[in-house]
Amino acid sequence: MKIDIPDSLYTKLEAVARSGGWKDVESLIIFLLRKGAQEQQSYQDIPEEEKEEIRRKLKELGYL
Amino acid sequence: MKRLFILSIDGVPYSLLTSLIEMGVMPFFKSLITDKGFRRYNSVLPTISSVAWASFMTGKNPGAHGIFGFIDRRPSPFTLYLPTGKNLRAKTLFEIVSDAGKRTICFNVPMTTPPRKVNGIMVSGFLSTKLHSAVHPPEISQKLEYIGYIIDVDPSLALKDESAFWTQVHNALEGRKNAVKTFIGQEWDLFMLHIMETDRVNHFYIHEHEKIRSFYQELDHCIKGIFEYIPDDADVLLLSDHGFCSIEKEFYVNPYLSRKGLLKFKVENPKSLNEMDPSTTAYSLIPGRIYLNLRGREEMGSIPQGDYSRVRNEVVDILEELVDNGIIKKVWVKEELYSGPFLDEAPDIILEPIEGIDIKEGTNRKELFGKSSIKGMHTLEDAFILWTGKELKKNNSFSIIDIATSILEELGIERPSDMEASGCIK
Repeated sequence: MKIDIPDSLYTKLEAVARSGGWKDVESLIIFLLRKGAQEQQSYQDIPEEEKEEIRRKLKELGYL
Repeated sequence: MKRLFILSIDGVPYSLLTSLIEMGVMPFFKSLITDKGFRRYNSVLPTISSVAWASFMTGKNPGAHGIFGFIDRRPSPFTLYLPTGKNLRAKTLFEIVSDAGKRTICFNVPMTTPPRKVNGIMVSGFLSTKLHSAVHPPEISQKLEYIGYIIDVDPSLALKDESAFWTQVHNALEGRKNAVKTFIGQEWDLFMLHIMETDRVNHFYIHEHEKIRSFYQELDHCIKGIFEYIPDDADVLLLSDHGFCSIEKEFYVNPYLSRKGLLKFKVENPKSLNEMDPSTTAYSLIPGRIYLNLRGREEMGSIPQGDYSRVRNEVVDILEELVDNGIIKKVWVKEELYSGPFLDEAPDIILEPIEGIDIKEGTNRKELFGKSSIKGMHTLEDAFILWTGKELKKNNSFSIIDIATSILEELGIERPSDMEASGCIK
């Protein structure tokens, strides 16, 4: 299967792959897609109420 | 091939350890020390656990992994957000180890929220609030609950119910020890356990010597208990991510920028940076991260791109008076500290604090100095590292960015070609 990627995005992915220690852009893209698919299936982003709790904690620790 | 157990202990200063050892408070820790394997070393700027552990895990500077603080901003539209592991855009040690076909177990390291799908186990640190969403694989969360494992203590207890706070600290340490006991029998090549409680205690009690002595005595017992489970064939690395010192006062950067005419608000008594006026030249996020209001980058940018260097130099010149007055140690521009694909997300100017003056944002304040319920602040040059059986480079000749390479070498894994880390073993 072939997927067309805009040139500008590909350039950015090349930089991320280089700095992130990836063998090539393709392995980075497969990793990102796999990660995205897994996250869709299991771990969602932190829910808003949890974010509030984290914000409160960071504030109490003087980090915000 | 060797395997490695890492015990990371957040915010424990080298100087505090050495004085507690001299006082006989930490006999077990003392027994681990060899002349050449115990060193004082440097953290990163800004000296914040999320930035420091992200640098440790990736062997890269913040410009190459993308984490600059516990809070960050998206410049356009201007939004403040809490970075998590999703914003850490470089491979971590745990993924590199996994990709090499080895198995890793990782507990509680900051910036591992949400948990990454490593070959093994990952239990996220304190940016997770619920165990069931903090673990990979998900099925281990019930076992962790059963053994009394908690992600973090509630810091608010230190102010409203001290006895409950110390009980939680004690329970958290027990939970960490139980996690080692429960999972160390599994197959692993890299096992990392992070103790966060030290940072929490230091923030509230660093100035109370008796409480510190008593807590570090308990920590010493806890470390001894953990060591009883570590198999003989494993090397052990202990380290903190920064030092700590007492706060004499807090310095509020945004009121300072306002007084200098660099930061302007649409309202008289601003509550947040969302109320900034477009005529602003510069604003700050905690701790001492300063951003220019650059046109084309910031939502209401007013400084033309062509004037960036000139305006930044002018702001730096103004800030230098803080160095002259002994309020901060140094003014840095981002290229002096960072490099990599995320340099454009870095603060344009970074203030390095002097010990005792904690740099805050203070957007809703008028005064430049004050105090709060937080008694301890992080320090850059007083982290500790202890690597059993190794000869480490001399004190303060390396930073937390440098350690990852040595870990991979010990595990017989080739370092990624772009990993900056230059190693910490002599």
